Amino acid sequence: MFAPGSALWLLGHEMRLGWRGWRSASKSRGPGSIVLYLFLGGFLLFIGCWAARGLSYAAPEVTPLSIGMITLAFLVLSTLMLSAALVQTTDALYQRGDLDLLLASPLPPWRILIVRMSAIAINVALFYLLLLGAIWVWLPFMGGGARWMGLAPSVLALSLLVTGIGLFVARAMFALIGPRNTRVASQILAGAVGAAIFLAFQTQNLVPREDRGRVMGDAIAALTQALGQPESLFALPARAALGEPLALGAWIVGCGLFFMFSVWWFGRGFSANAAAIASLGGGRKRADTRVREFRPGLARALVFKEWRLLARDPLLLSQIALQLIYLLPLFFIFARDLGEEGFGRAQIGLFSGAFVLLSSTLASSLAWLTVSAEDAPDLIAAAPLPREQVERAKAVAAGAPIAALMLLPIAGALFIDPMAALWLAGGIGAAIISACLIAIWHQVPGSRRDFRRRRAQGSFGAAMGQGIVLMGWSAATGLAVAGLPLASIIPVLISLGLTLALNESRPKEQA
Amino acid sequence: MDDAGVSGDALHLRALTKRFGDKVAVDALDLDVRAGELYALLGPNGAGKTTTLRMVSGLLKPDAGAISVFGIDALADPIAAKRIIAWLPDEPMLYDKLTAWEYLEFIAGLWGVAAKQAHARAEELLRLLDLWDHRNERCEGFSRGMKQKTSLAGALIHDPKLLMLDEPLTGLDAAIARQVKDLLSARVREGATIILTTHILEVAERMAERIGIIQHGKLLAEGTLAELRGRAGGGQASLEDVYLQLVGAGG
Repeated sequence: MFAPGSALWLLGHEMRLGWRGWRSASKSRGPGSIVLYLFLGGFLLFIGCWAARGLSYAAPEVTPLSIGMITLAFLVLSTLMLSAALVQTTDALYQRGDLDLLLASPLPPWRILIVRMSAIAINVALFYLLLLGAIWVWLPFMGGGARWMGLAPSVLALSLLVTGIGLFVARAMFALIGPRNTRVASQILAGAVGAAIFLAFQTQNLVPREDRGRVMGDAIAALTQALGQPESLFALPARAALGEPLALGAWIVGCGLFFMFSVWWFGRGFSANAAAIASLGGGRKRADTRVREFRPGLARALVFKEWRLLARDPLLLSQIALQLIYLLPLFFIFARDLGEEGFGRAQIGLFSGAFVLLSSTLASSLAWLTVSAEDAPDLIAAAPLPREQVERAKAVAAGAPIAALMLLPIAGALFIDPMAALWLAGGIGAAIISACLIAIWHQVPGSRRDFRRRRAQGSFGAAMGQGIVLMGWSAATGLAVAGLPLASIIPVLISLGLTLALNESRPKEQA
Repeated sequence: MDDAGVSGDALHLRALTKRFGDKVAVDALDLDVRAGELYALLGPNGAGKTTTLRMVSGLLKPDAGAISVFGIDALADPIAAKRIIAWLPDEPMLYDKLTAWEYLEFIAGLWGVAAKQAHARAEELLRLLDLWDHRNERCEGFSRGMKQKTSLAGALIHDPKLLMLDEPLTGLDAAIARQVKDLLSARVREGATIILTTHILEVAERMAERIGIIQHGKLLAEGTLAELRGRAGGGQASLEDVYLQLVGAGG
């Protein structure tokens, strides 16, 4: 379609690689996946139509509140985009391994770099543009909706600006901590921002019901005070998004120019010393000359190996920690209710159920890492050990830290009601054991890097079954602690029955 | 298996067969490797070399046939066989986040080597392979050669009687390749049996006592270099000439 070697031809190549990378993460293939995408696209367009209809009734007026809200949204969006841009910059320059091939070709290096960076900007914006696009396509047909059409171009321009900033930050971070650590730090940043946004949306749940109106009012006043100054230069993106032609033009041109400048700055001498930048790392560490004694024991070797691998992967730890963060609002709600309604058995039951759910969620994550994400499966398989012994050690490696962590709530429950502590300990134990057993029976072999995609790669039935089993233990514990031990028999039976069924349905073992 | 466990033989394969769907990867293969020899298994890509070694090391279950390692029926008692085998694939089996020292400690734990003995052996191997100064560095920062050497140290830490190496010299520079070859030769002198696959015929020519050429999962020819030359009908033909003649004839 485009002349080989041209910028657009290269861009097409980049986009194809991006698309295939995204597709390889998805389990579904063939006609079924096309139907699924069509369905999702249709659903998105339906929601977009509904949102566009809502927007068409609201005129995009430049007020301190609208400026403040949009500026805040852009700030949050730019933080998410920045972390994505940093990850993609590291991948594109140092991880994909095709840069040498491209730079060895007779194409001008600046063209390669500018295309690669443009592809990053597009990829960074793609998700948000897809969401906005589903609304945007309807706007011209929605009467007043056309006035909101500045929204999508503003976001695209923002992605150019953020990618440009990302290049400056990336270069500094490469020099300070090395490309590998830059990637990890960026992914942690993305997770932290996502979690912060999630928690921010949940804050109202923390506030007692009668105070919510006042707190929201204070928050809006603070927001308009800090970010809602229409005359300020910082209001430019918001004014552009609100469809002011001059502001929109200035915003697009400004972001585009900044992007070009950053690519030029980054590209100076890049082709000559890309490898040198990569090798800067975090500086050479002093040689560690200690000689630690070997410690005996097979179980110890297996368990410690797993713990070391977990502890030395900050990205994984942050992803596991995020699971905790996403459960925090649940505890906030319980805590608020406790404050408002006192310390009843029902509340303690809810808390207990939540702790069981938390421990099983964490155990199933860790069990996937230790059992399915083994880095050297052939090494383990070649060792003179029964498979069951290895799997048992791996389950211990996954379950023991969670069990240790859960001693705290169990100790807390002990002070309130020893019987409740007993039920809680039993529920946590059953949930952790179930999670580990299911992880062993229904292994989803993958790399640690696939941690977030692990559910998409495994069997849907097994994932569903596991979810129900773990929720069953949670419900049973909650009911028992709340003083309804007989009622807890039903979820216990469901969990036990499904666990047995999952054992029966486990795939035939390979040699 | 009528002659399994014959004294003096490290490995007996009888009618070993492995299919992947319709494709027969290893086709009723008979192979004997003597104790204390370095045996080179040659063959084109897809000939069945790696599949054969993976079956011997217990990573793949054969569809038919028998495997005996120093008289142990490896299919009936794989754990006992694995205790005296080491398997080194072409891609090092390492943990990026472990240091070389921790990796060796882990392997020693898997193979049940006593801690004191494993400590001494790990130090000896790391010094021998010029990795001692890097013992506390994580494997993720190692070069390809360092990873291969760490993996080799791991394979040797339990002092295996039968060491199987799949393309052990691939991607190594001359100096590291020399270190690895010297170490393997030393192990053979100490009485270990080594089976290696390689595409570098010069390595097989110089190091191996006997050479087996495999194609389409069957053994085409086997013997010393002189015997293979005799079969190929050339007095001073190089192994490359012999190999190409045999493999070409094998279709």
